[in-house]
Amino acid sequence: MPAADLKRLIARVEDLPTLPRTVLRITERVNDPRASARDLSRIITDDQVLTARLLKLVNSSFYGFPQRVSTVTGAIVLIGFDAIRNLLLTTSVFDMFPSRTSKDRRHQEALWDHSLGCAIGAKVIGGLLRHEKLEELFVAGLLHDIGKIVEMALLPDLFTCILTRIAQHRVSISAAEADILGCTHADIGKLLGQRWNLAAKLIAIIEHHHSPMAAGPWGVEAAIVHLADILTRALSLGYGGDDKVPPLDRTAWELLRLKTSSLDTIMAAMLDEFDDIGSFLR
Amino acid sequence: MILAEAVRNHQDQLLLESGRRITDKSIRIFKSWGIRRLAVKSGLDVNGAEEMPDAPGLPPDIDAGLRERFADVGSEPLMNAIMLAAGRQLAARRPKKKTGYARS
Repeated sequence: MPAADLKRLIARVEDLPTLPRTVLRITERVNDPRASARDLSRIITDDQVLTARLLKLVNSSFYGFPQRVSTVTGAIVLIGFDAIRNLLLTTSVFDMFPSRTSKDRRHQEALWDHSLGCAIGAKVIGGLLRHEKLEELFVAGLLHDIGKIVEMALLPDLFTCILTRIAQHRVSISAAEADILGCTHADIGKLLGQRWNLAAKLIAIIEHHHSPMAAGPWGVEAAIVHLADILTRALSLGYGGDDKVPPLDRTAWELLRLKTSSLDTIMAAMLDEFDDIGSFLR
Repeated sequence: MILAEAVRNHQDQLLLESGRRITDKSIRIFKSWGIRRLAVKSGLDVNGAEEMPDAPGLPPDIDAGLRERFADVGSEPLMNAIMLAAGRQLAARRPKKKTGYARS
C-alpha cells in the first residue's frame, strides 16, 4: 500500500476500536465529582472478568498491601478512582484486538510480555526516583507500544512486510515501519490515544517513548518509559518486534540523574516482579 | 562526588562551585546552612568511561544474545554498562545445574 494511502487510512480513525462499554462507564463515573466508591463498584462488579483482574492485581506484590482485599469497594478505596480507571483500561486493551491466527496470537503474547516488562521497569525506575505516580508510569509502560497491536490487528499484511524487512535487513522496527508505512508505531499509538481520549500526558509518552526529550512537560515520565523499554529489551522480556536494543537518549539519562550502579538493582527488581505480576494479567 | 550544580545558601551566597569535589568538610558546611539535597554528577568520568566492577564470565548463550542485541550500540560506555548489568542479572537467574557425585 502506498505510504500516502496508508496515511489517509490511519487518519480516518473510524477503523480504530472504541473502548469497551464498561471501561467507558467507569471513566464517566470517575470524572463525576459526585461519584462514590460504591457507584464505581456497582459498574465493575457487573463484569466478572474485570472484577477478578482488579482483585488479583490489588492483592499482588504490585501494591504489597499487608492484608488481603476481598471486595471491589475496598480495592477502590485503597488505590483510588484514577488508578482503577487506568488499570482497567490497560487490562482491557489487548483484549480489544483479537488475533486471527495462532501466529498472530504468539506475536501478540510476545508483545504483551514486552509491554508488561516495560510497565514493570517504569514502575521500578519511578520508585527509585520517588516519583509520585507509579501507577501512571505502569500504565504508560503497558501502552507504550499499543501502535504495534494496531498494526498486527488492522494491517496484518503490511505488518508481515515489516517483519520481513526487519529479518532481511536487520533494521529496527521503527525503521522498517517508516519505510513501509510512512509512519511508526509511536505515531499510530498517538492516534489511538487521541481516539480513546486518553490523558495528554499518556499520549505524549506513547508518541515520544523513543524521543523522550520531545515530550515537553512530561520529559521525565517519557524518559522513564524510554529507559524501561531499553532495559526490557536488554533482558529479553517478551519481544518488541526486532532483536535490537535502541540507543539510550543521553539527555534523558541525565535528566533522570540515575547512576549506572543502580542498573543491577533495577533489572533485578524487574525480573522478580515480571513473573509475579504477569500471571494475573495473562 | 562532584557537584553538578553550584550550592548557594538562603542568601544566595556561593558556598561551592559546580564541578568541585564534595568533601566531608563541605558537607558539614552545607548542613550548617540547612542544605539537605545536592545535585551531583553521575559516575562517568570526563571521557565518558565508566568505572564498573569486573563482570564475571557469562554463560556463552547469554553473552552471545546480549552482544547481538547490543551490536549497534554496545561500544558506547553507557549502553555497555546496561549490557553488562543485564548479563549479570540473567546469569544470576539461570538455574544451576545439579552436579553428580559418587556414592560411597
